[in-house]
Amino acid sequence: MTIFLLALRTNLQQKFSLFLLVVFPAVLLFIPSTGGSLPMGMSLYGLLNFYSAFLMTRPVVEDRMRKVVVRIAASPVSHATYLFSHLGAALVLLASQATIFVIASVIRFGPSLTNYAVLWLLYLAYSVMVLSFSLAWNTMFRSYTTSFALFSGVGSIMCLISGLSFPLHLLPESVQRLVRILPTYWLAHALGALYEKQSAGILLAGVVLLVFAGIFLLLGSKRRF
Amino acid sequence: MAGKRVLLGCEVVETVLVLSLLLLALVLLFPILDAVRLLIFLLVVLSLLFRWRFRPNPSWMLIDASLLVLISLVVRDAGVLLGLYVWYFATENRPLFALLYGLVSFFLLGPVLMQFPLLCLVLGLLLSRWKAERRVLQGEADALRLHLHRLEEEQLHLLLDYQDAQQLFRLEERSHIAQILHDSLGHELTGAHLSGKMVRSLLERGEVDRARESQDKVIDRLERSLGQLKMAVRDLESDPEVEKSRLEALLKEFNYPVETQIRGDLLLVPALVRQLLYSCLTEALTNVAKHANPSSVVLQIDSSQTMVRMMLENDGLIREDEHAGGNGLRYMRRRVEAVGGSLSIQRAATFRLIVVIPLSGGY
Repeated sequence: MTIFLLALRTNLQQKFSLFLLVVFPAVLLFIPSTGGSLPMGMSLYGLLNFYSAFLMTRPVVEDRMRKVVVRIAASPVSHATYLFSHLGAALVLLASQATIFVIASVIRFGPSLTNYAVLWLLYLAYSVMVLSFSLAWNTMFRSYTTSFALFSGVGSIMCLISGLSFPLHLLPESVQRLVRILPTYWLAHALGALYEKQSAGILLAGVVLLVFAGIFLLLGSKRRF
Repeated sequence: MAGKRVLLGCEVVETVLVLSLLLLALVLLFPILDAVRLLIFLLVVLSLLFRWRFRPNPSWMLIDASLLVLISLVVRDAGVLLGLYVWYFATENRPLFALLYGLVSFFLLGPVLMQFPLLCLVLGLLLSRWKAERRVLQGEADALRLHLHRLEEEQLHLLLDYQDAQQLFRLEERSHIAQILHDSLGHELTGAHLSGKMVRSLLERGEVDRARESQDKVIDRLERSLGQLKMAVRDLESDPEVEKSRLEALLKEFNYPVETQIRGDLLLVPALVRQLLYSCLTEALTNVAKHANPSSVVLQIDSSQTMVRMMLENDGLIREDEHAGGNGLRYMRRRVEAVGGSLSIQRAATFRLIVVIPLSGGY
């Protein structure tokens, strides 16, 4: 069995995996819209995706805690192969989650609401970013429990003030300016641009998300024992 | 309790400085920060992180810096980020590139924002000097470590040579004993043997007087042999009185008073082991004088038929020297282990050095 398949199986065996991948996205579709934007569930999906990505990086942290990485370092498998197999497996699951959510959205809201292909691409870019962010976040901690405890607070606040779990236009102007430096803001920004059909805004937000992903990947991919 | 000493290393300072400069650049851009400027800022961060992770040739950064110059011609004030490249070139010991982009930023930016690249240049050059000095120091430390390693190797060879010499000495000693036995006792015993035979033949022929005469000669020869044997043994053995006075002189000449307790008969201990114990004691006392300021030094030597144990205990340890080298101790341990013994150290309120040598070996 390859590391990719092992990582896929480990992620699917987690307790909440199926709920996160199938049930919760469906529930989000029934949250009503606040008006003047895409349905609230579409931005709340960013919060769900954020936590899903964090759970998907759990095997990497546990491997470090159980010193599996030391054994891998002594084996012919390179760190890059190991890491990208894990990230690839997690990305496949997150992409599946986005696909399920987008298909369910088409069924729930009808095909004319927005450009669903662009929405899916945005979710995919966002998934890459949150996956890299989770990896970088976890490198700061030795224990997954501590990491999750702090992440659940920081992640919720990030999603709240960047307009994913709360309408951005209701926040003060100064906060709106400040949250531009948060990576999660750019999904909310892209969803706004998608609603207003501003192609440049969508493209820019997508690129910013990918650059953030690159930064976090460079920070998180450094091998730690 | 001795506190843990925290050293602010070059890497830590560099990380703190680069994070501070990134934050400062973001603060300077913040009033005009839009999506495009944030993207440029993120790309600069990405390019710096890429260099941090993969360490390519610093000259490759010229491409990134030149691209930023081109972008700065279109996007106003984005040139402030050139300061980060100026910092990079300065810290990577490329002062010419740093000055070049410093000058470019001078033309691109206003007098206020110009101060940022200037600050980056100064800090970068200072850090570069620090790194250069650290490299020199590291080189010297490495050379010293290598020298120490070679000395230890040499010491090991000397120890092996010492053991070989001991073995040779033993063989030579055996040969010397054989020579003494041959020269001193051989003639007398042969004469006694012949005289004994003669006594028997004289008695068989009934010449009792002559037999008695020969018997006296046999007895004389045997008595002389016994005397020579005693003399030979005395020559071979070391003089216990000399050894005793040497030990007393060592303890008397030591800087601090030594309370000595000797149990058992040290004369039963082989001369080689006695010599080894003496060497260990000399080394241990030197260590006490070097690494402690003792108010009490206790020496205990216990000898039995099976082993000899020597313990030297002292107080007044100097804490800074707790983890100091200990080549002497290492050398001493090797010598003791070479004869099947052990050397242990107990470091608590006092310092104890314990040497145990079994006496079952053939010394």
